[in-house]
Order: sequence, then structure tokens, then C-alpha cells
Amino acid sequence: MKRIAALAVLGLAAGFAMLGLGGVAAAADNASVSVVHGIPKTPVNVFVNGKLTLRNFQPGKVAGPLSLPAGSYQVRVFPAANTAGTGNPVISATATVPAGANVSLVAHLDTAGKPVLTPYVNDVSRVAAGQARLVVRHTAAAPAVDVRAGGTPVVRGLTNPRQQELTVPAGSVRADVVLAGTSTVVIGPATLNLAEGSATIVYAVGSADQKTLGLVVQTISGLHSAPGGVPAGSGGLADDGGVPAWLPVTVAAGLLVAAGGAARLAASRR
Amino acid sequence: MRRQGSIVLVVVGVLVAVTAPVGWVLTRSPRTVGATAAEALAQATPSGHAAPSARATPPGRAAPPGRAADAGVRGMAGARVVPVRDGRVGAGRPVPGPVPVRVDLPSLGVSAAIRPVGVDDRGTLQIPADVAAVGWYRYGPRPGDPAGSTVLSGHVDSAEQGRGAFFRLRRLGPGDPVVVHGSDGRTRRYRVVAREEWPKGEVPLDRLFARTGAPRMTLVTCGGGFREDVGSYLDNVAVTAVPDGAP
Repeated sequence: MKRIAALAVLGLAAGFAMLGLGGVAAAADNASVSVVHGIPKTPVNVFVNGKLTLRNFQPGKVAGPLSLPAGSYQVRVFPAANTAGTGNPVISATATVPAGANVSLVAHLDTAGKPVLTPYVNDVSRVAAGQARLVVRHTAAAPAVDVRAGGTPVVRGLTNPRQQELTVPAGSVRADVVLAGTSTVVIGPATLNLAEGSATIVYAVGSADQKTLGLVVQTISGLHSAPGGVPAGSGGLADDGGVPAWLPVTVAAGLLVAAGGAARLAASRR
Repeated sequence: MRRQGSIVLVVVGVLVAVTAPVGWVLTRSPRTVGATAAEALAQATPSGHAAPSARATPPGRAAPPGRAADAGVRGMAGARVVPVRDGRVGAGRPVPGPVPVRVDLPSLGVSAAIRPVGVDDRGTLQIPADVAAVGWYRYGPRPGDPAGSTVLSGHVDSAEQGRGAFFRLRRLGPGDPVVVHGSDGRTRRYRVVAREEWPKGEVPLDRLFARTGAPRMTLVTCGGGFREDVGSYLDNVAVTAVPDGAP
């Protein structure tokens, strides 16, 4: 009997849990998907689940965001001349899109120079007031690199296809990319505008051998927070927390008059 | 006779002692008026800007079309257009619009210069060191932007400099005019719809600094009681104004 009761409780709990999860899933179901073209000199057509989705998509461009249901998507990338979507694709991959996520599907070269598709889930958590998020992704056919801001390395030893994330004060930074541990500049310098309350995602793309290294920038805005408070006074001249000064004086005067009257009353009775 | 006079004194004295505080409580102006209107503005969808993508590049601030957003591409359903942006460094960078340079509060006889401000090391709002000046939160919307709350903040006072530009902000009420002059030479007129006051721990900062909702002007300062021991006020006062002609 005890056991049955326990099972019933478990069942109820599971039911509620499923209901709760269902509600959450329905609210934040679709993912926000962008497509980034990081393969130099190769305009392409992008087919998603067999449908031509991006026609004549140019290198260095960012498409989206698209609101898509969670799930697996077959992505096939063909040279721009191929509009039929048949024959040998440049890339053929399956991308898994998690529910509610912000995803970048990046067509780029792997370390060996072969075209690949890498899905990245973007951090769209809020940043503090005055701050910006900088994300650096190594998606180039190149060895490990450091990223420098104003000459100082801020990202070290980044390899394809890894990423690193920083939170920095909003503003412009002069950035370049060097071979890891050296001062041999391979990309840049370039001035990046890191907008407040936004994520700036910088992709190192291209091929060191082909001398086509470069940057592609994607931005995600709306990640701002409000300042923590408004400290706008230190003098106390506008203090209106208590009662005005005339009020206790008036009350005291009234009571004094009443007391005087009462005393006279008492004296006259005697 | 003497007895009668004494009774009158007692009655008058008690009346004064009782009616003074009651009258004060009944006649003092409420600290908060129009809170519902201010909340509704934050929830509103600005007309003509329903598309979320429009938020990123409001008119007047975006790069010329064709640079920021190239030709759209036919979407998956056939009809849907996928926006395509140029990912080159510096492409599509917003063109800075006009900034506010002066604010007039005619009903208070105030006219104050405006300086752009951000946040300090602790993440709290910067207020111009000069108490006669007013700060504009430069990360938020500009006057004339299609959506969100443009925030002006000013000292109520300071221990060193005395009364600030917003010393009498809490005297503003619904219908009072707010006039903002922009660096583009344009004058934008607003009218007050709400005045609100909260203890500092309960201030709806996300609403005051929202970059969405109906376009509005939010003027913020300190108020309420003053704590001598920490040299700080207990409350924040915010006045919300909408563009003249807005419903």
C-alpha cells in the first residue's frame, strides 16, 4: 500500500514535470540561426533539407537570423553555378539545432584547408552596463594564433575550430592576429567597434597557404543591462523623508493652548 | 465667564493639534502619479517598428541600405527573405545620430546643458560632476529614436555644490512640458505623463533604461529621505514624458 502511494506520488511528480517542461519548450521553442560564409573566393548556393535557401551567397557575408524549429538539418553547399543542388557539393553536413539556442552555422576551411561546416552556439546572456562581449573563432586554414588588442595578446594559442570569449568595456579596439607566441602579424590590424550591450563575433577565415586570411564579423545586439543604480544627490537639501518642520511646532502649540485652558478650568473650579 | 473661555481654549488647542497633521497628510501631493501609464509605455510596440530586426538599425542611424543589409535572399518557405549582411570589418557600422545638448523644464524655470554619460567602475550611472548639468545615458536611445527610453539624469543636490539641475524635479506633474534640444539643431517637445518614486532597492531600472517600448524621455534624480550618515538619499524619483502628439 505504502509502495503504491509512493508510485502514485512519483507519477504525479513526473506528470507535473512534463507539463512544466512542455510549457517552457513551447515558449522558447525555435532557435535563431545565422549562416556565416568564411570560404574565400567561393560564392555558393546553400541547400537546407534539399531546398535552395541562400542563392549566390558571397564570401564574407552573414545571413540570418532565421527562426527555425529545433532539430537536425541537412546542409549542402554547392558552387554558385550549381542551382540544381545535384552532383558533388563543396560541403555536405548535418547540423543539429538545439531548441531556443542562438546558433551560427559557419562554412569555413579546416586546418588542412578542406571546406567544412561548424555549428557554434552563441552566448546571448546579458552583459553588464557599459560592457561588450568579444568572441574570437579560429575558422581558418592556419596554425595556432594569438589575438592582440592594442598590441597586447588577449587571446592566446587559439586553434581551428576553437573559440574564446571576453567581456570588455564597450568601444573601439585596434586588433590584429599573430602566429601564436610570435609577433608575426597574419591578419590586420583592424579597428573593431565593440558596441555596448552587444556580442561581436570575429571569425578568422581563409588560408595561410593561399594568402587569403581575413576577418568576418557577426554582431548580436540586445544583450544590454540597465546600470546598477542612480546616485544623484549627496547634499540633503531636498530631504523630504520626514514631516515638515512646521508640523510638530503647530501640534505642540495646539497642545500647549489646550493644556493652558485645562489648567485655568481646574483653577476656576477650586 | 472665565470657565467658558477656558473650555474654548481647550477645544481650539485640541482642534489645532489634530487637524494640522491630518490636513498635512490629506493635502500633500502624492509621490507617484501615472505609474500605470509609464508601465504601459514600456510594454508598447512602437508603431511601424514591429519587426525585431528593425530595432538593430533604426532610421537615421543605419548605414545606407545596400551596405548594411545587402539584397535579401529567398527563404526556405519560398516567400521568406533571409537578410544578408556584410561581415567585413567596419561594414554596416551605425552612423551616429544627433545627441541631446540642452533640456528645458519651463514650469520649473530650469534650462540645463546635457553631457553624454556612461557607467562608473561599479556599474552605476554616471552623473555629471557639475550639478548644474544633466547627463544623457549614451548607450541608450537618442531623442527621436523610434523606440525606447531616453534617460536624462541630474543631481537633486550635492554636499559641495548645493542645489542641482533636478532639485525640483519632483514638482513636475502630468501635462508639464519637457523640451530637448539636439546637436542637429532640432527641438523636440515632450509632455509629462508620470512621476514615480521608489526606495533605491526597488527602482525598476530595467524599465527606466529599456531600449524597447514606446519612444519616451525619462528624467531621473534622487529624492525621499536623506541619510546623513552615508550622505545619500533613500529614494529615486523618475519623471516620464512622451513626445508631443503621442496618444
